[in-house]
Amino acid sequence: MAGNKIKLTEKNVILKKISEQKLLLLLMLVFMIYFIVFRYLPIAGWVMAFQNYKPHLGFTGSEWVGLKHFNELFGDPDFFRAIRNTIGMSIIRLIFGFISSIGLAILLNEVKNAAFKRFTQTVSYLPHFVSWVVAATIVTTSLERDGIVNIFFTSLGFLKEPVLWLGEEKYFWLIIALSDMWKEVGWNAIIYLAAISAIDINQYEASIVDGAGRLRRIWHITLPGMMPTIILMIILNIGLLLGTFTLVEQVMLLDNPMVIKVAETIDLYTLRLGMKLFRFSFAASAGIFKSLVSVILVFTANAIAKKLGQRALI
Amino acid sequence: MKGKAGILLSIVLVLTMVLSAGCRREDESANRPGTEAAQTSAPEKEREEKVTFTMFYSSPADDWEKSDVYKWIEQNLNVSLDIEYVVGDLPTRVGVMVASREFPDLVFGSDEHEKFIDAGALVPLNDYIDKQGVNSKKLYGNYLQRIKWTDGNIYHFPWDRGQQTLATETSGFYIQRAVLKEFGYPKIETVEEYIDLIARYKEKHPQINGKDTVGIELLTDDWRDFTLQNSPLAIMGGPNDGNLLVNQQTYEAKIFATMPESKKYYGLLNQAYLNGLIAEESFVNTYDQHIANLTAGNVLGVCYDHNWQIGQAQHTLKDAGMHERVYVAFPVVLEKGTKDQYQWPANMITRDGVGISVNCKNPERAFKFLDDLQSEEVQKILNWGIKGLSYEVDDNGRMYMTDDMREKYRGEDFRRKVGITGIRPWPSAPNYWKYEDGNSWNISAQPEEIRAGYDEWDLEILKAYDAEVYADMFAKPQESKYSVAWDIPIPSDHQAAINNEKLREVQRYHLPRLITAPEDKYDEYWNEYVKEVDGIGMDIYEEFVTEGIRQRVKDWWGE
Repeated sequence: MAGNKIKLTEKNVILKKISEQKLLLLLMLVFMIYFIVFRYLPIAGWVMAFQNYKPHLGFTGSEWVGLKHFNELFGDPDFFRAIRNTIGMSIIRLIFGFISSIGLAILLNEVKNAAFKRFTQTVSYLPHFVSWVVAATIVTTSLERDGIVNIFFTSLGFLKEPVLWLGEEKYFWLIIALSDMWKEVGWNAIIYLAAISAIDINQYEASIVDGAGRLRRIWHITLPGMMPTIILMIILNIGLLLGTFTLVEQVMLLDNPMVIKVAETIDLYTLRLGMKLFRFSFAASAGIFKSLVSVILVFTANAIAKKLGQRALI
Repeated sequence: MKGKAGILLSIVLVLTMVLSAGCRREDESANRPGTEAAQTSAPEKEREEKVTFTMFYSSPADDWEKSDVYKWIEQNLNVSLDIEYVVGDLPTRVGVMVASREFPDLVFGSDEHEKFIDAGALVPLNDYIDKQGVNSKKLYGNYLQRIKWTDGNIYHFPWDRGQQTLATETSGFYIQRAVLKEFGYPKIETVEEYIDLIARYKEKHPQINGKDTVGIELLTDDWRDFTLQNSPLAIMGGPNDGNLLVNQQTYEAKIFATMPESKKYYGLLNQAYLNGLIAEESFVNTYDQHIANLTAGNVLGVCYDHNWQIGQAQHTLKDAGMHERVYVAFPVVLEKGTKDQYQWPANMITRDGVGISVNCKNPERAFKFLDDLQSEEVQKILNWGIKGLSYEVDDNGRMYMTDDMREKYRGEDFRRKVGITGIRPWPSAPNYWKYEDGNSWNISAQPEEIRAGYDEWDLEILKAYDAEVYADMFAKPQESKYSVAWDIPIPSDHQAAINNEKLREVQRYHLPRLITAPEDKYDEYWNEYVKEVDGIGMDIYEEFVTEGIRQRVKDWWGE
């Protein structure tokens, strides 16, 4: 009897909670539907990776070929080169992006003049709203032989001869990372600024009383206060290591024959040998590979964060 | 709300009525001289009973029935047309017609035309051509075999016989006018001569307009690098067959990417690069940057390009008044004496044309009308317009336009009023044909009309190279029996298509690498390149295309 009663109350509690939060749940429903329709239902399309999918034959009419496309994918050295390029560029982008935006957020937080702070912040996130098509033109023009970058370095004496920056394999990843950093630093700093503003002001006051200088305060209060946000962002971004749409756009617009060996990403590889030739099945097999690896990466990062005693995502 | 909308509607209606009335009056008065001219030049013809055909015409209305050309046809061929133009969506309209089987006497469906044929809506013309096709046998001749539908019947006369470039080059090795002038307009025949001339000019003029002189710039942006990949074929004297060299007797197709001629050509470019003649930017620049560089005037040449790609730079240079920096194209070859094939033949599009529907009560007469349209006399009217209105004839029988006509001809309104604007679905000859009296088939093909647009530079250069128009500097196009090799459709997921895509990628990386190879490294890089190409398995692609070409020659020519 008693147990039954407890269960009943538990049920009541849940119902009560639901009725209390029904507005929130309703809001969430919209996004649930979005994710189900656009993220989960399309997974059904994965079956085409095991077929020779032809649109006019459909899923039921297409021929089943087992792992043929995966075999082809993993037998192609170009594919592994694409994986290397993607991960390489993503990691450099990630490091540059994190350090720059966290740094900018901290610096902005230390600025006391409100007008200057607002101005700097606006200027720094303006490039975010420029499409990559335009941004890439700015980048290529600046990096020309007689572009601003070469003029700057040669007139200061760092370079004797102008360098054709975009024509050298060794600079390409760096250019991708730096141009992405330039474009996104202000935008990414916003979330860290929000994190900083949530830190209890009393902590700063107490540390000032204790005689802590500005650098001490940043090191011991601001950074630890931001840590949960930083960890969260890292976990989320690790899921994107195998390439995002912006990386595709960026590389597509900046690459050239001299650097294609270090530039082609997994998505561009899929585009070239999959979609461009209407090989939906081949493209799907590359997509499955990418999704699976990404999921594994996210869970690994999450587990590591948990082990280190940080608040994890799941 | 309702009231307001009603007022608006009535205003619109009134306005349209007033405007269209105005237009009509203007048309009539303007047409009068045309009709008079037509009457005077109208030949003696036995009078047939006047007929009216209904017709479906798959484009928006453009008042062709009010034009002088139409009036001439109505009077001289005794045929009136009641034309239904497309309002709204073409596929829907065609679909409704096919479903209800209500076809007008004549139909022209452009890209939906096939649906009429598939629905059995059209009368086969084979017997009519045999019996009464006096003019069509002349105008289509051997092509009658090629315009047969898959069931062996002819349902229409294709209007698009292909446009050959008659005024300008289609492709070539480009070099600045100033370079030619400097050395007294020398004849440039081989790649070596071309590079040598650029080197000599660069040495003499290290700077142009305050900028360092650049010898040659290539175009390698994304898919546009096909010019770099396909240029060996051009210098070998091959036709526009993409990345394949097709044996014209056996129709065997082979990729030329690794042939000795290619090795020699890219080797020459490599030498030029090492001598500082090829800009390294060539391999980094986007198309826009490339064009911007050309219009700066300090780039002396472009190694193989197509007219439609470099044209933008040419126009800008002319507009900016930098006439000495405009480029001239040459049919450069690898070995002296090779016959070039830089100019491409026209390719007929067999898809559509005017057909006679099964509902036509008098198909004999309808065919007679189509056949009459194919006589030289009517073709001249369709293409040149009315004598005295849009052209004159001089004492030697040459047709020409007066300066006043040329000026008016530039305006769309005039051409529309005469009736020689835009695309007409009527049977036609290729634009490079000539009438029996030696005049060109249409206005834009007549050398006198082309030359009317030339400036002093053009005339001087053409005189120096003994040519009437720029196209004369190239060999006459040779007609191919299979159109072009890259037109053979390959199912996109076929291994042949995949391997071709892989070849593109290998070339995209290796060709710039070969050209920029350091001294003594060229052979080594070449062997690496050949090894990668051999590893793809291009024989699948070659066999597929060979098969396709042979099949096509069989289908088209019965060989």
